[in-house]
Amino acid sequence: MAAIRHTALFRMHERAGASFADHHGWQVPAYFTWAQKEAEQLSKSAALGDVSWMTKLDLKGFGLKTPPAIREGRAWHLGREHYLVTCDPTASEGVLAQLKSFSASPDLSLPPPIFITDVTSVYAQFLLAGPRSRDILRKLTSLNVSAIPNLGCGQASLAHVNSKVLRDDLHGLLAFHILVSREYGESVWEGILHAGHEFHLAPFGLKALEFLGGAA
Amino acid sequence: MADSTDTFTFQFNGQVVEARAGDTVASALYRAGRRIFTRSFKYHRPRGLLCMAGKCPNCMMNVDGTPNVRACITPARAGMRVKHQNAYPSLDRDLLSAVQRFDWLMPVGWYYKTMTHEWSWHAAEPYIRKVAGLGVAPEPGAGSKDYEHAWVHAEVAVIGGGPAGLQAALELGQGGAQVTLVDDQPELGGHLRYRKQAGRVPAELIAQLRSLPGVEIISRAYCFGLYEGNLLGVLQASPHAGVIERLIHLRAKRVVVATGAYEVPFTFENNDLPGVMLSTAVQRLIHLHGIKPGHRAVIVANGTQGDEVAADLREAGVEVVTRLAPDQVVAGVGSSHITAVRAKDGEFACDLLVLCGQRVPDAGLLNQAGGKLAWNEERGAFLPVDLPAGVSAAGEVTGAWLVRAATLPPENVPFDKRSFVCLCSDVSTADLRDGIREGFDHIETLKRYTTLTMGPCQGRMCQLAGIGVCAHETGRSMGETGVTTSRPPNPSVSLGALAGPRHHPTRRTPMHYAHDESGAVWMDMGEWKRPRYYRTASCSSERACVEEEYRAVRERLGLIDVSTLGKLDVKGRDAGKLLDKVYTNRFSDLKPGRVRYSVLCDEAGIMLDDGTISRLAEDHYFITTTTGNLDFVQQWLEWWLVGTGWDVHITNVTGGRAAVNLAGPQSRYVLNTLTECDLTTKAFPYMACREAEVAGVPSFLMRIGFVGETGWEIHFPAEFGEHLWNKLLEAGKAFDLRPFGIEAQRLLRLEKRHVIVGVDTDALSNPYESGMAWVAKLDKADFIGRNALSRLAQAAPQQNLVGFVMNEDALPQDGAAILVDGALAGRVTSARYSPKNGKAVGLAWVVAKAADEGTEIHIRVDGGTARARIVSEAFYDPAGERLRM
Repeated sequence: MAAIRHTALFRMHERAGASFADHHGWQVPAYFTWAQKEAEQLSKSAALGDVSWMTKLDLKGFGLKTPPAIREGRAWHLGREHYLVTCDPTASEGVLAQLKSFSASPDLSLPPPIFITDVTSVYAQFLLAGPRSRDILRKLTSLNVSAIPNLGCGQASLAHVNSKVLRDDLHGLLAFHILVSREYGESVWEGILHAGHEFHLAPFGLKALEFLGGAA
Repeated sequence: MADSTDTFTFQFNGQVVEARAGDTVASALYRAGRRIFTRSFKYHRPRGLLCMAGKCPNCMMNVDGTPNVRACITPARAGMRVKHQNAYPSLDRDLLSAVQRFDWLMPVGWYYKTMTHEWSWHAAEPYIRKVAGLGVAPEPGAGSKDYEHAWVHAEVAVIGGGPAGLQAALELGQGGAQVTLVDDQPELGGHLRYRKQAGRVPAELIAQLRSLPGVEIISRAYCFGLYEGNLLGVLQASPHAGVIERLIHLRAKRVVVATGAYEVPFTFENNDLPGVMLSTAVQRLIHLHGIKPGHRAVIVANGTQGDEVAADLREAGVEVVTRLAPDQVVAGVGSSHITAVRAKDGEFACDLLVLCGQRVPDAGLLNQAGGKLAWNEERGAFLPVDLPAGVSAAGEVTGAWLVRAATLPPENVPFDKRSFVCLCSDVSTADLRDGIREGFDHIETLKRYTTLTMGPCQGRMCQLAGIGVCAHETGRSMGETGVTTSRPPNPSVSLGALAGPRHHPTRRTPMHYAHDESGAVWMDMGEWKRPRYYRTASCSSERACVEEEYRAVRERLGLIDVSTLGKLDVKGRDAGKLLDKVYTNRFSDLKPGRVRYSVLCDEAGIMLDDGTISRLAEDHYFITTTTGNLDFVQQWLEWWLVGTGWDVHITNVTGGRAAVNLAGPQSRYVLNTLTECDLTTKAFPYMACREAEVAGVPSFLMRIGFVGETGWEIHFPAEFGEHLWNKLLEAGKAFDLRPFGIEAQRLLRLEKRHVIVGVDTDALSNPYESGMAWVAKLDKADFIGRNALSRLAQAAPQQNLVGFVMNEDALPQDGAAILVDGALAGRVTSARYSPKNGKAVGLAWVVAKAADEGTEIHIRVDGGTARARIVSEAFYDPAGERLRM
């Protein structure tokens, strides 16, 4: 049997009373209370989910002077010739194959145009979603979150930790993916929940996402 | 206005006080009959409400454990506990007020004149601390108060919610700008809220403003500083339950300062008596809180404000006894409250002396932004001019509508110890005169000598009067005298608010909770949590546990979590070239599948970090750095990469990889049960690396040995951290495997004389003096530090990092001094008791002449000295045979 994958927050979710489900080999919270309630909290105010299981690929190289064309995933522009690709684990093979097809250099005197490093394990990834998510973020980071359009991103200190903030609205609801180095996962998760206290921020599980998907 | 139907109570010094909705702490106390609110800083003179606007120091109290809260602007809440400060036993009867009888003993510059010896200060300090001061700081950790931070970005920040600020915000907002309006009052409207004769609060205008989508209003928040790049420091009081204050970093493209003007008192004898109140404070009490401020009032005024406040007083049922011009007033009469006012043409009994003082533009922010303050004779005030681009002023802060209330500089100054200019620190006109006569005649030196403008009010009440006195005494004009500089924070900000929420980032390895379950005793290494050692049933003390862990590694096998190592993935055609350039060792010739140790030196040949570098493929390397130096090494590599045009790509993968070191003579047998990788020395020699599955987990194995035994450092995806750790523990059970912590690791490596860069070396250590000459490959083409290292290779060493072993039973502390022939000759960097040697061993820096094998040295231990000798070889397995087994 394949080994089970745990996110940085596994033990914290356990303590919070989460019910777990297997998601592409990862043990992830299915729900903390019940899916409908978590979905309502999300659409009404804000909710926080652990989506560290999402595939993350770091792309660097001269071939990235233009954004990589990716189906079934998102390419976030982090810097000059530097992108982060995020996608669902089901899509990761397809995305990798696509990227590898770009990285074969036509000219052998040149280095490969794209270097791919799988950084799925490197980052704890949280999804902060809901109409109040921006109000929560601005208690955590100096990043001008209001200036980030949908599918835009920024990098800044968040809860005193280097982080990447990727905006990817969820069924028309404001939503931000927050990426921090995995070892800070628990600390930042706690920091976000603390900042969101005034908005009754609560964690949500996978089922709530399915519930929202169904409703939309 | 305070609602008379909706009442609640709070405690003041243990007594129940009734308050109405809309009350501040001060208004409720005033309604309940309290007239003395504080005792002054130095003389313990009674002080009552003066400004009712948070501008003066007269109402500072302790609220729910927080000292120096301005009661006049702090909303009363049910159940809050308010206490007085700086008075004993009570505000009304303060025995410490006896101090003022000895004011003749306290001339201006008292500290400078009396504390001329160190001992005089030490003798006086305990008494001064008891008598003088501003409340008491809360005990550390007291209460459960929390502070928070927030960051707000705006196109335009408008500071002040009075008529000018409202108008500006509305016009900008209607023009489509994104506007943030900051106001320090509970409701918008500024002076229109309490100056009923001046106009009405434009309710429609406020409603219109609130409806604009791009406009954000932050109420009950004051702006304490304007910093570089239009960053505004804003402090908001209790933005929501559970938070005492929120510090907002407000960044704006443009700033409109509409902070208005505030009123300041006149200077005359006993001008600080309770019952002496500014006219705007009287209006606030009447119109905001429905309080009749007194029975018989005398008004001191020059302009129309006198008529306005007279009408308000009469409406509130207060008898207006008379009205005096400011230069008519001689003195206030009374001891704990004003009973009469003495004027040039007679004495008037009263219980309220209303001062229609000069209105001063609240221009501190404009001054901080770089604007100048220029004297305007007609307005009787310093007005902001030469504002920098991006900052503008609106409303009364510009000086518009201001009227001169009295001649400045004054024709006559009442020089008296009881005519107070500065209420915060009890500085009188006489003190200022004496300071000027002593030579401090520049306004800035006078400020520093007398502490004028340096108290909690930051000069709001005293600056103008102080400049007036200075100008009068020196014969200069107001403009020539000039103003003191406003610096943030102004007004003051609590340290808790600056510190922010009690959240400290913590780094945990993927096996954190598995360590917990094994009995880990934690230690902090930077932000990381690491097991120091593991407490088990078989050992009771740290030393016993560490020795058990040590023996497990030396005799059987041990397992340590080294996930905290910095890990960098380096890819690209020129990766080897970059590593050759920055590391002292050579890497372009390293074969894939091999590991090499190296150090990083700066241009002066100083060792900055060390670590292993593995080559996975032609264009792919993997670097480990020491735990604390990851960020530095990454930046260092990227720094030297800039401008080269080389194809190198560095990715920090520290968080993504769990890492363990399985070490000990039995490690091969145990690892064999979990992997198909051939672990024989022939197939997997020392300093080799392989990719293989371990317990079903894709892993990267390096055969290296920091602790000096056969062993593997295994790196694997962090999400399998607990899984693989537990698998290894399980597989090792038959061999009595022990997890070991930092302490055992430090001991094990010390026996091997492995240096920890940054612990055994410092900012002056080079490889030659550190006994690591072999790391510098001087035959390699240029690399960072090569020039310096070439020189150092030829130079005679000044000092050497050497090993030592104790001759007697003593354990020196890290950092202990080393003596040779009675003279200081070095220091210990690491020392531990070595079970192998039966004595403590260690590493130390000693002067070169004492560095030879066998030299006897003395080390300071527990106040005495203990004998030790220099050993040049490793204390354990000097040939490194065990590593290669």
